[in-house]
Amino acid sequence: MRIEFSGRPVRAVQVGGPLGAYFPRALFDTPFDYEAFAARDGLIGHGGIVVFDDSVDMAKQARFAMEFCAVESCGKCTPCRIGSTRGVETIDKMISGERVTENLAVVEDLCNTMKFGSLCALGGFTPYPVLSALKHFREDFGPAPATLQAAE
Amino acid sequence: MSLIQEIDYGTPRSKSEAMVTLTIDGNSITVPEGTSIMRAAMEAGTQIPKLCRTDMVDAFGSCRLCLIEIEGRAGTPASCTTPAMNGLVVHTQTERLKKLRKGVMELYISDHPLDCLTCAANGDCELQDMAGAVGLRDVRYGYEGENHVFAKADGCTNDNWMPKDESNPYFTYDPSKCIVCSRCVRACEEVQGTFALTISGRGFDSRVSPGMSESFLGSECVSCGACVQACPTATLTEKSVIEIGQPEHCVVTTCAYCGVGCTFKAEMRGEEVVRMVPYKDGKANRGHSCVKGRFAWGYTTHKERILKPMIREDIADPWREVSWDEAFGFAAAKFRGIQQKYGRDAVGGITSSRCTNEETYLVQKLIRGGFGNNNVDTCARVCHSPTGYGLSQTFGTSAGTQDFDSVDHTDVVMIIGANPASAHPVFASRLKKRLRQGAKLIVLDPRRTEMVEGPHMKALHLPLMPGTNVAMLTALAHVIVTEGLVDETFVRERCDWSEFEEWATFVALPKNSPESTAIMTGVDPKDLREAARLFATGGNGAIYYGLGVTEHSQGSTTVIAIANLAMATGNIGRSGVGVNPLRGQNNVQGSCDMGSFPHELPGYRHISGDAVRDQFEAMWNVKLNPEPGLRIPNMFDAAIEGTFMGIYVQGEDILQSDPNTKHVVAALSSMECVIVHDLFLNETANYAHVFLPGSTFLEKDGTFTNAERRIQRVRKVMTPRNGLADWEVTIRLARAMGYDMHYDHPSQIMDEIAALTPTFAGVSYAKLEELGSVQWPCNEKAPEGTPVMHIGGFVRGKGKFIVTEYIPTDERTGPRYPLLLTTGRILSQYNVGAQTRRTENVVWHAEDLLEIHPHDAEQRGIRDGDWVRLKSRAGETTLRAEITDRVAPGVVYTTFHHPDTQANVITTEFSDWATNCPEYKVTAVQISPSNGPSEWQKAYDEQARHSRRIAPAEAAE
Repeated sequence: MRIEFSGRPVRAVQVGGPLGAYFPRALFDTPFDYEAFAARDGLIGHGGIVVFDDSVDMAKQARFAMEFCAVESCGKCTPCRIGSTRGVETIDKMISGERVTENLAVVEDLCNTMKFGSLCALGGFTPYPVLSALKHFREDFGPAPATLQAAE
Repeated sequence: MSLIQEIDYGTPRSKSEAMVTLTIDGNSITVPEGTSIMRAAMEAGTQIPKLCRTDMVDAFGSCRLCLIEIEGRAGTPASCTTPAMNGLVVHTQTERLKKLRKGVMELYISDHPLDCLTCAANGDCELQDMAGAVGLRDVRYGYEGENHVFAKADGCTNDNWMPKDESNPYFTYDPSKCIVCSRCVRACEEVQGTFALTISGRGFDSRVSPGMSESFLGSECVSCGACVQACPTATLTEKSVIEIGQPEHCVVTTCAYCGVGCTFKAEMRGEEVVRMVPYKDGKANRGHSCVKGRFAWGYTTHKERILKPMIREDIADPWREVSWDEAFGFAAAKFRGIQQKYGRDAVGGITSSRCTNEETYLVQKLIRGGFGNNNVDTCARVCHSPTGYGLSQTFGTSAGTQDFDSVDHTDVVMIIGANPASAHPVFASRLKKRLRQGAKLIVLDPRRTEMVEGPHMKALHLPLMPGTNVAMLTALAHVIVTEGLVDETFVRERCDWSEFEEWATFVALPKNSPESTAIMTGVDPKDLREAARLFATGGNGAIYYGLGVTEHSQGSTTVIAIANLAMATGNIGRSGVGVNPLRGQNNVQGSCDMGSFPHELPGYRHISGDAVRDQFEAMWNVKLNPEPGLRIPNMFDAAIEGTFMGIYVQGEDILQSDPNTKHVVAALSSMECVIVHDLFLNETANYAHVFLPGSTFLEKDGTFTNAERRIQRVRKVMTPRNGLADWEVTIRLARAMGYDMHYDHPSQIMDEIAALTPTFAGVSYAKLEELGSVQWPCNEKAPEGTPVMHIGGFVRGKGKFIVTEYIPTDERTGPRYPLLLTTGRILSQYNVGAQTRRTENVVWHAEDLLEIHPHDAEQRGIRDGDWVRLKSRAGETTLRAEITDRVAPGVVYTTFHHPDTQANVITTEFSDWATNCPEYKVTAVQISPSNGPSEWQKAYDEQARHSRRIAPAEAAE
């Protein structure tokens, strides 16, 4: 087996498949254990590990999670059928800099709806990659909001 | 009464007897095991928000609005799919649930039009209700994303958008409003059983698809309206609601089409009917309907409806519109004159099986009390009179033994000579539901009807030759007796044993075996044996039969054979079994009950019986004639002879529906006064001298009795457009003829009926208001009616086995007439089509077609759609051919819904030996290519046109 290394530093790891959470370097000491991962909002899933170097764009990864869900969705339940499509659109808005703070809140609410409202784990687990990307790699999601100028 | 908002419990009721207790929002509630938490909450008075569920169909769990929290369980399960269990503590409103529900609604509304104010569902939209219920204030996704709502986005066509489907004449499908709750799909599957709808595509592309993404009209949809009823938004809406708006009050009434007798809510605005919606508490239909009752009520306001009385001296003259009094006076004078000239027995009448019980009672009262003879008959003569004879001989009552709910407990259903999918569709849907649960079906029919093969349904089909019913049934009995499958305990206890033994010896003869009879019936003996074994040993066995049994020269014999089979296998006297004649008309059962037969008073008591006659004479204050009168065929014969010269026909088209049209024409032409009391100028009116406009079921109060012996209320929703309800017309006609009958309201007529008829003694309008409906007998012994009959014992005492020798009909095929014609019905048209041809239903069946097997067609050089000549010994006619292998070689089939088909020119004079029920189902015919309508059809058409002219009113000076 040949393993290709890019030679660049590792930035993130995704355990458990496309619906697994992204862990930053700071969490690399998490024991490879169900409860330990769950305590840090991750999951073991199918146990596979995907390693990303520092050329990864976590906003695109989050978008990919939503897109994956939309493509695979059976369409029976509303949170996944409509939510995944809206998730892609809202992350796109954030990436293009449109009302980032508001859309961040929308994405977080959407993830909550999908996580607890979906009929199955497809919609139910899509929030894991998205929320973990937002939590640990916030800098990739559009410019930070400008600080408010004090009134003169 | 104002709009009845029936409570929708969310999921169907559980039939379990065990109970469980749980706590919902602090309140304790006890429900049957298997009830969903959603339904339990609803019963306790709490409405959990919901969209994808309705109690018409099973729970689905797709909208994710009905989430709840259960103490001790993680997450937020859906209350519709979570069964109630002992000790659960449920909360239906928490901070977490509020947020989730808002989130779900926000997603729904992000892909939905915002035109509530101009939408057809404004005021009756569950999406609106839920948005309000969860407190949705904002859709933060905006409306520029992917959607199904806008036809164009940024100038480009939106591939997700589909235009409105308006193909169905009664409702529209607007995909832009669809929330993909799939209630329509499930209604089509679970309630109707047609499986015409599905969700095509996946994920965001999901869309409701009739057939293979066809239009509704082009798909397998039968337009029953269940999907429209189920749809929570305006996606599937009645066109009448789109046009008129939301209804404001409703009246519960009974459908006037077939013998199922569906209960409907007539939803109105003032006196305008907005729509007819099936009533969930209807005991016959349980919230379902078919295209006819649901949508085809437009004939009430059709332009061809006659609203003024008309008279004429000669049938060659045009009609002259006159006042009611002039019409009554004219008719009365004619009838009195006829009786003076030709004798008391020279006049008579035909009661209607479509009019109410009260109206039928009045017509026979007029004839018996007013005319002084017993020349009264009804259309049951030509359909189920053998049922009356056969079942009263064997069981003691001449009606079906069960209610429709009984099918839910049946394990083996045998359908003989009936096609419920066309003629009793709502019952067929219930039957199909039971079949999908595992019950088995045997079909005895020359044709491969819709009951033989369907989605998730396959019957054991015994395709017998027309006319061989008795041989088939005797062969089935042969198998049961010779293979030791008789329910001896039942027979010994409930039937006359010596009669049974005589019958058993007869059926066991070798000539009655499946192998010996195969040569006549054409049925594979192996299949026949399998069917017999299945029926005898498969559990609860029920027989449902129709006109394919009765309309034969051995019709009564066949009914007797059916009764014999049911008794021999012990299938009588409880739910799930029985002998069930599928009565055709909305009130044919009632018409028979009300004494429409020439030899019977109301309640099936012979007119010659002094005691009964005395009772009637006392109540009616008139002397009654003890001699039985003429049956309809006899009336025609007597007319041609010159001894029967006047007839009052209420609500029946004898010229189109009776056999041997030329004979009927001759009879009507011979009479001096034909009074037709009907809604339209039907075929009989071509030969009439007096036309009295009738009223529809929407315009009068009364009762109908359906095939389950269930008496149900018909309630007036609008003023009669013709001015008088039918019962008022009969009363005034009687008064003009010198026989006074006074009633202020049909309830008084029912009270009189109850006073004179033991089986109806407990029936009154007050009781019907209280119970909704009752199945007769309803008297002291059974104050709430009798759903299942012959429990414990037969009405006549012991069940009677009667030997049924097979005597082939005299109507034989031969070299000149080598094929056998049989007839039947189609779903969208009703009988002679008088009502349905005057609605949009013509879009489905614009003409009658002759079904012919490919082999027979090829031999004659006939292609699909060709005009063919259909000729029998009685006459000939022309119609178009349809080539299909639903009929066997040697058998052809047609319907009789259109008068220009003149199907009854072909049918013969042969009839049932006991009751004169015409043998419509067996006619020897020859088919050949044709150029166009026959001479007879052309002449008939000409006469009809001529006869329908109405003279314009004289201009006032």
